[in-house]
Amino acid sequence: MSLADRIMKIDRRIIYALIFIVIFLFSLKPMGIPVVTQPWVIDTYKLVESLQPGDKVLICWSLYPVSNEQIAGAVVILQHLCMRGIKTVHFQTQTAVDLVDDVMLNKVHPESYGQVYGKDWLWLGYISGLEAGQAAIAQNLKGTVTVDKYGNQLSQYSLWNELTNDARQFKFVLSPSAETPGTAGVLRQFQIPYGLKIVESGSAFSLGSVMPFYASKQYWGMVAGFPDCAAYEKLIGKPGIGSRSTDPLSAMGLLVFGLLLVSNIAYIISKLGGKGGSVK
Amino acid sequence: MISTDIGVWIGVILTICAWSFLIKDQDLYRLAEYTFVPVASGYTVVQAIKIIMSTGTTPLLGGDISLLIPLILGVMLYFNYSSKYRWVSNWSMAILVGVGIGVSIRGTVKANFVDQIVNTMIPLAASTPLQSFTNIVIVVFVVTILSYFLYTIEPKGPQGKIMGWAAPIARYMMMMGFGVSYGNMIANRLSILLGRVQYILFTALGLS
Repeated sequence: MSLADRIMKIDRRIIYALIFIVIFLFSLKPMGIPVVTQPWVIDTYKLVESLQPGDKVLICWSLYPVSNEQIAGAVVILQHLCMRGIKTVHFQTQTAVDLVDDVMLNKVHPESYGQVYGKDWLWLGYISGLEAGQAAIAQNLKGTVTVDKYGNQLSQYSLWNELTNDARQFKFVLSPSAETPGTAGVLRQFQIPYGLKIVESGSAFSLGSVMPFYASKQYWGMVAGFPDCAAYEKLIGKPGIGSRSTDPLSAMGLLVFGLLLVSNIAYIISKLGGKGGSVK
Repeated sequence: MISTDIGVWIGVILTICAWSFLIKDQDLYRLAEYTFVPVASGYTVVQAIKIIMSTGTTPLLGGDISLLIPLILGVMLYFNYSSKYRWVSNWSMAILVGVGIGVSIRGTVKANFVDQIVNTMIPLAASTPLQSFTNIVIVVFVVTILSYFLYTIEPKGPQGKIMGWAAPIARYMMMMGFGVSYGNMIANRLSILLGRVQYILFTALGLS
């Protein structure tokens, strides 16, 4: 059996092992591979910078805990919002409400920026109905919810009493999105009827499908995937999960690319060589 | 510092059980699978009950009798399990579907059609050569790919020549697009794997 044939018939578990070795090594010892700051990241950063302390931003979560990239993007934008003294109101269209608790309390730490729950940020919890839920928040925020995620009456919080039923009170909507209705629903329920700016915290996977919306400025900005997240962390001077994750992700990408290259070369050699018939 | 939270270690064990599928389909993997499915279902049911209580039953008991209507409509859905009275659930289902479509359709036309078409009408001679090139690429690719899906024009005569010229461009562009999507999908799956590895290294083992 030639080398090319042996490569073609390699045990897939060896490839899995290689991926695990690379991911563990680069997670523990990042090399500091440089990242490019994309224009949509700069647009997001500039939008947050343009806000005044006390301005309000709505956060529409459409995520489950598996969505690492979207969560990382949301964390860094929320940290920037906290730094700028911006007030945030959160709701979730999926049932994974504890995810937002984890993000806010264990990753963003609003209290470290002097933000107080009820005064500077509010967590409305799960709003059922998917896009109909988004529409309800857009049209009639105060009539849609009366208690927060923890079951407390919202009327006791000063931020709730500052809010009105006009969606335009929010400077933009941040949409950490991996599930339906996600940012597409935000676009239809907040941007089209009220002209609100939208920022998506998405994954690298979604970049191709959301790019037309960014190009047309229907989405004002995006943080799509760990590299964008690392770039944003650099802009606000706060290295975090994005910076830590970009190296292993880049290394794994290179490994997959290398494996594709080797396997294709092996395939061609095997086809052209004397044992070409053995590979279909 | 190593985590002392039992929940974190249950997460680590279940993660490793799920990964055991990479070696072969085995009981450890099934343990993770059969744990995940009921836990996720139970969690969803609890959240649904909580939202019904907070937005339905509690305000209803507080005197807001208008909430009786959605609650009754919700209960009517359960008639779907009775072959004799299934028609009762159709009323609730009709309202659900009607509201769902009505809510999403109002913005769809503008968001996905009008605004996208308007933003494809861009100047071919832009302020910079790079922008001009980008705009030309966008317009050429949109037009050729759209023409690829014009089934009502027969590919003969002058229009057939144009379409014959446009079709290969459209096909290559679509293949490029699919390639980008596939590459991004691999990156996405790797990032999910990365999340679990970081959970073990940083959250459970406390390495940094």
